[in-house]
Amino acid sequence: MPPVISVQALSKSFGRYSILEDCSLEISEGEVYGLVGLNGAGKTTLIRLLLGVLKADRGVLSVLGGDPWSHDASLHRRMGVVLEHDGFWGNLTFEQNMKIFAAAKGIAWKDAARYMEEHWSRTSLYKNKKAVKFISRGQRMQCALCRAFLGWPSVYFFDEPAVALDVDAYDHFKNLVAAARGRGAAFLISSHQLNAIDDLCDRAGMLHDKRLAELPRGAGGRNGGELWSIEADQKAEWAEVIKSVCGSEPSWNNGEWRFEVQDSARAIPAVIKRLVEAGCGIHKAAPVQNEFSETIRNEYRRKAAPDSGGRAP
Amino acid sequence: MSQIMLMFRKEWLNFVRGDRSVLVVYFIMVAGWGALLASMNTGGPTTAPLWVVFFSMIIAANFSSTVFVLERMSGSLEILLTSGLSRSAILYGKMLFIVLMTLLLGGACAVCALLLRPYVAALQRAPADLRDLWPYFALYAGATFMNAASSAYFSVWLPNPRLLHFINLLLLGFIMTGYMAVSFIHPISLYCIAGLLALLGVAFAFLAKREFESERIIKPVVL
Repeated sequence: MPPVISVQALSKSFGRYSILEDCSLEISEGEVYGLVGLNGAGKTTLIRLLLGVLKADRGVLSVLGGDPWSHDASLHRRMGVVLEHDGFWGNLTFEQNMKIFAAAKGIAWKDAARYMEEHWSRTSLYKNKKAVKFISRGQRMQCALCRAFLGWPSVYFFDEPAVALDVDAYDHFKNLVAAARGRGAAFLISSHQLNAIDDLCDRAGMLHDKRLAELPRGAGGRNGGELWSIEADQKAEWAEVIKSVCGSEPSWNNGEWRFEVQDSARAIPAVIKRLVEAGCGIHKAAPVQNEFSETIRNEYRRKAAPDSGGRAP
Repeated sequence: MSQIMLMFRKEWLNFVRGDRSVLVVYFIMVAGWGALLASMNTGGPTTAPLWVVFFSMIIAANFSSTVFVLERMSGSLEILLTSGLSRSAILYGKMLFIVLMTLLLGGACAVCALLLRPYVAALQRAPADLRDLWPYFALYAGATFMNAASSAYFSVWLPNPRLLHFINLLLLGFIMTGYMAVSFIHPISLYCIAGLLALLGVAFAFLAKREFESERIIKPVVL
């Protein structure tokens, strides 16, 4: 099965400024790829290249087997897109906007209306008669998501899709992503919201110094050890205990201590024993799994270190 | 063609659902310019063609501000480019909207002029009937087409697209100055100048298509 998105040795510069160099990426059917990187790393440029609004200087790009720069409108009809600007015309209502986008994608309005009825009737957008310019930023983002999933495209490009979404809207978005994945769609999601990357993505890559590097999921701490969490009280002395056993500085995060261990088989029983002896009530101890966010934070810190030549996040 | 009409429909909806005060301004403009047109001397080598071209420039510029400049500056053009519409359809649909709306308002001015004619004094040299206005219609249509096409081109080519009206004004100024200078030596039919403007419009439409297919179309705008 050929990948839905394929990028080989891609380079792009604007005048003297090189943005991307020798980037490669493959995303298969049903896969969700998270794209992270500091501000100005080139995430939006990469998405624009894949959408065919920018032309690559070097390298080979393929989306759904076609060249995005060919300006083939039929290729765009199979894409769902959320960009920095929602792209709605403020004077028109949401429904009027959707009628235009449905017609542009070649989708009959009755089919588009059925999709909206099925998936958006419980939201405040449904049959909202206000002009789009009068609705909130979060609602406009929901409108953009509604447009992106219209017609269930085969590939999605999302640039900060979870910005301004409330809890319900975010859950709804996650359900739509799951439904689209079930249909075999591929996703490229760029976001600074690391919880969204954790929730949604199977793989993630970081753009830094013009290059794209694949990030391992839950790859551990910055010193290459394993990450563990212990649910306990927030008391400074527990941090000292953990540090004395494991040798790494723990961090307090959402009701749990997070720390790095080099030899978990030996260190975890030892740290639990020491904590219990010191009077700490432990509710849970577990390795931190299936999260990119910790890896991403570590990568940011590592690249921001003075000897790495990176800049502070 | 259906994609061009869809683009036209989008522009039309955006216009009619826009600020109502604009419609009042248009109404006043049609009445005022209709009165001006009714009292205009169109009989000999006059400034009338300049006025006609100026009307076209002002009306077309107003529409191209929203249709090309605001669309690019607001970022909605990028979404439009990935919506499934071809770039040609986007360009031609927008141009069609500007041309038809400018012709509609120009036509309304002409009708208003004809209605006001009996009431405007010193009309001895005003057009005898509608047929005398045809060269002016042709001139107006040619200038409108050129304005729409050059607006499409300059809205992408210029780093600051808000300057496009000055460029259009300069361009038309050069053309009309040339026309006046040549017609001073040897009379030229208004149909000729209308044809020249239409030809320039075709050239600009070609250039605009090239710009719309380049990556400059999403280049950041300098304000």
